[in-house]
Amino acid sequence: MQATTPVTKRVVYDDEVVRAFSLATIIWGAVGLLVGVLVATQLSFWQANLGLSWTSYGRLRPLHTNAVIFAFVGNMMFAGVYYSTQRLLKARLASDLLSWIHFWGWQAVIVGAAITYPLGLSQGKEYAELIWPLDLLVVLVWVAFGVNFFWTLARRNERNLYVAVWFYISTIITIAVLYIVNNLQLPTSLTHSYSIFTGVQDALVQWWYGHNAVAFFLTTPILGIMYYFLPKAAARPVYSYRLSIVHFWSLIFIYIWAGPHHLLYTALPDWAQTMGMIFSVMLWAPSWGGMLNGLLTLRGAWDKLRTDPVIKFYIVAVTFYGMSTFEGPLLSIKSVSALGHYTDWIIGHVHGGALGWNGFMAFGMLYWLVPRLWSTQLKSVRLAELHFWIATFGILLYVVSMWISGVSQGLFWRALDAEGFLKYPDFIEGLLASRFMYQMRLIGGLAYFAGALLMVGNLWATIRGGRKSTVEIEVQGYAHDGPGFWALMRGAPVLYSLAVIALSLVLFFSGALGSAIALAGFGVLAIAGALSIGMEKSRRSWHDLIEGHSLAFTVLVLVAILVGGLVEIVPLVVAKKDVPAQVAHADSVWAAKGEYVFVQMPYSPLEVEGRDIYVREGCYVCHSQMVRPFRHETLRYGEYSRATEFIYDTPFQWGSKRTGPDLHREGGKYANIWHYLHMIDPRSTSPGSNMPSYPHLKTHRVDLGATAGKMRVLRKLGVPYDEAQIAGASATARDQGGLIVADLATQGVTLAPDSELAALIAYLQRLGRGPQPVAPAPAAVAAREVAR
Amino acid sequence: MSEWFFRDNPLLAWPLAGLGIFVAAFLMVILYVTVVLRRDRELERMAALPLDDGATGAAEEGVVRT
Repeated sequence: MQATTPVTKRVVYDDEVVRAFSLATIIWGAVGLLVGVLVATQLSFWQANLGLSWTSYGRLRPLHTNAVIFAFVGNMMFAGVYYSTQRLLKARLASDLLSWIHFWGWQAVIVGAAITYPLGLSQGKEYAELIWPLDLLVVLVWVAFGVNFFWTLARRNERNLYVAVWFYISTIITIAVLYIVNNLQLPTSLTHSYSIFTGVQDALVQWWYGHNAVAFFLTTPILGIMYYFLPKAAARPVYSYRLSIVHFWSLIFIYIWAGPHHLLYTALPDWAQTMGMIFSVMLWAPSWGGMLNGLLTLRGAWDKLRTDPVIKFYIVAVTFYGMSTFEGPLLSIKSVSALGHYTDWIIGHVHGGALGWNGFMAFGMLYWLVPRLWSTQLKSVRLAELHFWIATFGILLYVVSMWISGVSQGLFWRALDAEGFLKYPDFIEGLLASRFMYQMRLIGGLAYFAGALLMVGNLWATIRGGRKSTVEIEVQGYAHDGPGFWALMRGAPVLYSLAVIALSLVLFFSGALGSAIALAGFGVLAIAGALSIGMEKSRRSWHDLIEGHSLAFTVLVLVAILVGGLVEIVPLVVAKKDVPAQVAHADSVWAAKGEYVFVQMPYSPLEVEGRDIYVREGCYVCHSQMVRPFRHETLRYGEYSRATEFIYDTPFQWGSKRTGPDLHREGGKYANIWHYLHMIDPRSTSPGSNMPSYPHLKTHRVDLGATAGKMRVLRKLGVPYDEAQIAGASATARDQGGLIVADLATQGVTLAPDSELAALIAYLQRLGRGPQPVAPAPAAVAAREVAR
Repeated sequence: MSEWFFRDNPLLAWPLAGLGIFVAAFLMVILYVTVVLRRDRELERMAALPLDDGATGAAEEGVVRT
């Protein structure tokens, strides 16, 4: 047991770094939204790609998503965390140096992303596109943040940790785990690397990360901010602190399991999909508990809704949180996902969360915080009111247009005629039908952006009219009088939780006798629990004690998120066994080795390079590579995708959105000349397409000298290249490129065999053409192409 | 019992085990906060902690130096 003597001391809060993060939020928010407007324009008017490689949609879309998530919401989160944590702990941030390393390091990451994405330097994994040197920088910055935060906890002058701080702890711990695991990679150069995971495993790890980036970067810290700033703005205590306890523990425990709902009806094992769906549906309970706790905090203060723009922003934000956390579980139900996945419905859902929940929370926080940080009044409340109404109009128009567009696309893709064939076999028809909604989306985005510009002007005028304030308070230190770490770890709730987990595992994984014993154990546990509650004589409850012990609290948070994380590692191992690289058949024409054959041929050197170009150009942001096992999908694209077909895919490129058609069975569907023309001018082969043109691929050359090095790294990851293949990579690539350009020459087209376009064509022609039998392109599609 | 139920796909026991663990743990937390914590006065103080840092504005929050 530790003991300290209470003393009175003066604390000066470090609000300088809060001011810096607030300014960064304002600036990067405007930039992120501006890029969003640009990419929305590109979807409506392909000319907005400007004909430049570094302004094409595939490169700018990751810039938009990263700018909004990590630059706008990230900086807002750090401002809110640093401001509220100091006040909730009544302590100055532990280290000014670490605070500024955190601030400037994070801005360096953002600038790095803004430079590298337009250059096409990307890992090709959504929301994790940063190249490995920037990943390392993120880790260093996050460590600085974590050390500064936990050091501040250790120096606090408030006995218990408030619920907002719990959410901050869960954010710091979980993001560290997620980011490191998902970014495990082997570099091939300073700007390029391959993920150590492949195919199904990579998909699972990526969406374990991707989903929980939403959970622990865009949700938990913002909930913490809600639990601090909403009571401040309403001048009311939190509606129910008990409910916040249920909200916190159940939310962090469940969220981590739900990632596989991004992979429903894919080649992921069915049981993992079911697990993702079940936990996603369960998320309804804690999410709505939190939403209601936020809304009911305003009890007795609803009159402020008329006059205070801060309250207006918060109420709409919390309402959007409720709506998004209703829609998310709904979309995770397999039959709903079958309709909504890959459509604009998902885009509407994401923006409801990012702009409605995160954006409005950020605006509300800034309008509340900036006048206080600069010791003045908000320059114009009317302008803030106008911002609120314009932004509300914008986000509603955006979300509703994406809902209509998305549901229409889902119905359009699956529509069959009376004979059971595709009613709309041409994919482009659906895109053309969505064009009006894309324009509505653009107007909505423009309105939201215009509102943000009003805020920038208003806050700038506010800052200019104020002076930086320094807040100094007098606090009483506290004597730590609770039990030690191990005593808390032996507390009844921990022991009961362990018993419940053990009995559940016995119940589901044992025979009849074991199951009966487990059921009896649950009964004994319930009786023991009731008795122990009756005998509870302690002055302070166990949860009260754990709130006062930051290390014990942090360890319990880590355990809560690791349970779900570890259970998701199991499918990783199991899937690897289910997806062998070799099987016991000897009738393959490709790679018979004794009685075993490869189930999938490794990519040729030129295909490796072509795949890297596919990743670089961000093709995955508009094209999936996953034919789901539905009749309408196999009719449109060909045979459904199997896990074995992706064992050499690093990173996996299944995608999450179909602005264009699925490409997994693209190989052999069209002639080389079709691909050539399509990449130079997509409208020449697909009238009405909004795809950017890629003329630079014709003139840019592949660095074939680097191919052998890439293949060596791939061999370390399990791709069965032998030394001769690696040594001859450059020559082999030129030979394959030569075949493609010779074919093109018969059509009167001249192309270099080592051009990027030749490499990309080689890759596209390879897609979906492994040793396993592949159904030919659907007759209707083939006939249409012949007619063209 | 469960061996027979999941004999075709034993891995399907995982999501159900997860569901069982969560439901049991969720009920425990609900019972804990409604029964054990019902008389905990500390919770009321904690619920109002954001309001306890001085006041609502920087100028009222403590000694302000500019």
